[in-house]
Amino acid sequence: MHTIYNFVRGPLAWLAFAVFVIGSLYKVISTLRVAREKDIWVYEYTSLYYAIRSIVHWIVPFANINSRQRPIFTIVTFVFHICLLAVPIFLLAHVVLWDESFSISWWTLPEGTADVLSLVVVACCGYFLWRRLTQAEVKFVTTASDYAILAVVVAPFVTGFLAYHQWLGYKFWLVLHILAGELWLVCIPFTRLRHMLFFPLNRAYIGSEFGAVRHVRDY
Amino acid sequence: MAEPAEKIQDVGLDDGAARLTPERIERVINGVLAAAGGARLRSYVETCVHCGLCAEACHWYQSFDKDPTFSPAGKVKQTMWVILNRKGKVSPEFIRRASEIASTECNLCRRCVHFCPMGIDIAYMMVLIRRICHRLGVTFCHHEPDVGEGR
Repeated sequence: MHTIYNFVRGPLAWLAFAVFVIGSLYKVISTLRVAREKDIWVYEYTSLYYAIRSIVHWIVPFANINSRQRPIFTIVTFVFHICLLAVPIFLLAHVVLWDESFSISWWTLPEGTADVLSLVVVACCGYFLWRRLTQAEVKFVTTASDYAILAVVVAPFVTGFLAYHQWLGYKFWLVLHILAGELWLVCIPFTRLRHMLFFPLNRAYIGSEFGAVRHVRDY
Repeated sequence: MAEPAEKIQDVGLDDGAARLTPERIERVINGVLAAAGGARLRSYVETCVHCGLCAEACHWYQSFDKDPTFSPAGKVKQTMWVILNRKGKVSPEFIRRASEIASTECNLCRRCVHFCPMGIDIAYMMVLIRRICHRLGVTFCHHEPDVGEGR
């Protein structure tokens, strides 16, 4: 188990981060290059003011008509995304790893808080799963890959929670947790998790098209 | 959920689809996508998280008692997703239905764009479907077969 741990913590972690960074850069740069060749008006229309206006109205809760019409969904999705990023970045155990490996560290969440926030992420994923299974308009557009992506997203939080509480052996859950986290990183550029990368690009373009060309709002 | 809309009888759709061959469909689809299916199409299809939030925006969806086949993402699912997944290898009947969806079940009003958190322009994809169908000669005519024949 110790050998496996060293492998997943060492070379595999480097590989996962490399695939995440290089894959993300490749996806974004190749899309921008295709836009230069085939969608030239993307560059002509895009305006910094309308791009920022659009992005701001969609990263602030209740700043657009859709989020106001669906308050529960809005709260769940914002809480989910904030916890999804805050827990792995500000978790004490993760910052300790950064400190050990590269001698860099930053503010950390209290351990109990991080524990609760992990459960919040799991609960939010449960809500998304419930929507996919029960809401006709969501169910109709749901494919097997949507369930797989949901599983990939929730896995690091479930395994991390179990590792922290050391149920059924710490090392076992820890190795699974690291593998799940690495899978998460690798999946970002190559699955629909890449909405993390393309959200600002799409919004910048459509915000500009609506604002600068059609003279209407897109929120 | 409402009953599905009646199948439209239209000479443009019916006669056009009857003339199609799988080879021609594949050639035309891949030609249109190679020329016009650029970064926006790729980004829109790959970024959609299938959340269904666009449904409420669509007056077709509302008018048909919230039938999910009339939701904006539902229309993309029945058209562009299939075309891209099968790399253009689709049947004449599929093209007939795709033309029906893109031309008679979407007005390109872009209200769904106002509801999409990812800024996906679904109307743009419906325009691409219309273009493919038009190039294939499967275009909604909205007149009776005997109109113009002197009867």
